[in-house]
Amino acid sequence: MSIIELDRITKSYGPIEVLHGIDARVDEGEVFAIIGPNGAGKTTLFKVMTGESLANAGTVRFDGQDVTRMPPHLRIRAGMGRTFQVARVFNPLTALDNVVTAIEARKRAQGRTDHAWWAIRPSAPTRDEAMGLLEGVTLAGKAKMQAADLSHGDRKRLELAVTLAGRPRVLMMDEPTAGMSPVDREQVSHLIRRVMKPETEGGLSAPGQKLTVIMTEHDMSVIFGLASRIMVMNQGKRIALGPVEDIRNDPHVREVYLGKEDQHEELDA
Amino acid sequence: MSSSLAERDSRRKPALTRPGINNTLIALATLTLLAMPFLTNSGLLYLVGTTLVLGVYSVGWNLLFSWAGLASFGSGGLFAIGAYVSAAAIRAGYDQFFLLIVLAGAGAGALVAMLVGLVALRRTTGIFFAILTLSLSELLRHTLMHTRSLGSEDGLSNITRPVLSLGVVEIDLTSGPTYYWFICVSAAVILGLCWWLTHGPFGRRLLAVRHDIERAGFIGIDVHRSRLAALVISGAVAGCAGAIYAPWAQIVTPELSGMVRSTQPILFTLLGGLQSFWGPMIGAFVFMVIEYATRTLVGIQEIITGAILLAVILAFRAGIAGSWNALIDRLTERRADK
Ligand SMILES: Nc1ncnc2c1ncn2[C@@H]1O[C@H](COP(=O)(O)OP(=O)(O)OP(=O)(O)O)[C@@H](O)[C@H]1O
Ligand SMILES: [Mg+2]
Repeated sequence: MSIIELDRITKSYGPIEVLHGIDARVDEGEVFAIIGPNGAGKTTLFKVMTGESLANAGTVRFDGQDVTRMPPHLRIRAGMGRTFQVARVFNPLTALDNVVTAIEARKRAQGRTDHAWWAIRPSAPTRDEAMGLLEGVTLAGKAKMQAADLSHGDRKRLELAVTLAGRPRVLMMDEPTAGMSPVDREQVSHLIRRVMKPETEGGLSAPGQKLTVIMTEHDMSVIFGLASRIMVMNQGKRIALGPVEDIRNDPHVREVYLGKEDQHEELDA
Repeated sequence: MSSSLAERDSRRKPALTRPGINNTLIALATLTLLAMPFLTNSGLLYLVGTTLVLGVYSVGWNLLFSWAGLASFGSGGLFAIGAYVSAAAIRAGYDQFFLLIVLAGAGAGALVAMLVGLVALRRTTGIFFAILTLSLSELLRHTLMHTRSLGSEDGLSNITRPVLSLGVVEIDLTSGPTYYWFICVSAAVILGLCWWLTHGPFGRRLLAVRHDIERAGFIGIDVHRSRLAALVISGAVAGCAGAIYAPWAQIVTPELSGMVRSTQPILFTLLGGLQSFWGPMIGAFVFMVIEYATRTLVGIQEIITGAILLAVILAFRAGIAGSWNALIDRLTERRADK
């Protein structure tokens, strides 16, 4: 079953059209990767899916429901979660409070607030869940640190924990390894694989949750290690969509990546 | 392994902690304030009481600014609304219900803030919100100046201090010291409520919104509602402070809605410390001391006050509260390292 359906999405910034009728269906439980050269329109497509900007034409469906004009916070409450190309966490709060605030927001939206109305501290279940998520992204030791004082890589991981705290059904990650060292990249790949696995098997997904991941990424080794299907974009158009092996052998894709010698080699790798 | 780390951590913890030191200071300040009627003359007591009211009002403004990230330049208008509600009700002879009058002042401030927020918050933020609130408070000032039933330019004077009747007991607040203690108790209640609001789930939500409103939406926070709630609360505090102020000053004028009153919280907050709960209160008292110390220097008082303010703000970027905390942290850390 498709959890996200994009139907002839077009998007213009002023007079310039940057997405020319994108069609795609993302299946529940898969890792769907979007790749393409700089300026291809990957981030723009993300924004249309999450509601940061609205499509000029076409429809976005989430779990069968038309969400094309729905504001972001309602899409989030419906089960979308998203991280940003440059991690965005809440600097004035500690790492722990970042996650706590996200959990509290989720519980509030579901009408399941579980702290007493007068309580200042988060409830015990909220605190435990937050610590669990921080442990999951290996930040438990920095729980009391101000988010502003965390390193680039730590902020990325914290943002992932904050996003997972919303228990999303679809997790959208815009370049989760951007600006990271190869070691950190491997760690993030590992983390994403854990995110997909249920808690009972040492993963990070809540029980009964079937997580779908949509990600953009420039690092091909990360993509090939994770993705089930890949969509290739170029200049606002979808030029290929299919399982990893098909994409690696697709002549059109090779053409787009030709001239970028390193990327071409990576396709062969 | 981790337990031995934790042990070492706890052993390193200094005997004096920042919260410990600061709570002691707050307790000392509270005791000093309560003892004021025995320590000073009535002129100085009036000054301290006024500063306390303005400090509370500024903490309310800062709740909007440092927590929700909205800079209002028209909070004086809300203060004036509370003050006029209180003055008019007392002059109409309802003074035995003074507690209800104070609540009505808070309600009026909250209501007006909500109306402004409903119209403005979705569309305007930043400088536009500042200008809009400034214009609205100026509009109110002009309206008050031309409303004869509210005393036009002269305002309402001869506001008596009330005798509260609480069913069985009557509390006489007509003398300076008793009304001063009433201010102290009200201030404690309002500050307690504000502290509770800013340090719980609501406060966390607001800080998230202030730092990155778009990201806050992406964890499912209804950012407009959160900001509106902050605006309403800060309006309630301003209205409440105004209502308490009226019988203390015994006169209210349209100038309460003017620029001076609206910019006071901004000044106090800059001086005392941005993003600090107690900052505006500290700023209010430091400002009072500076003004009092320079009161005889007729003609150059403003220049000296301005120069001192500028120096303090430039020297202590984090305000007095922020610099103080940094200092304590440095000192306690050094003790711990030994
Ligand atoms: N806010 C904007 N206003 C105008 N043009 C924009 C805006 N955002 C993006 N664009 C343009 O839209 C096109 C697609 O940009 P987008 O950021 O979606 O690309 P991308 O595939 O994410 O690229 P990258 O790999 O560099 O992140 C680019 O040509 C870009 O210049
Ligand atoms: Mg991009």
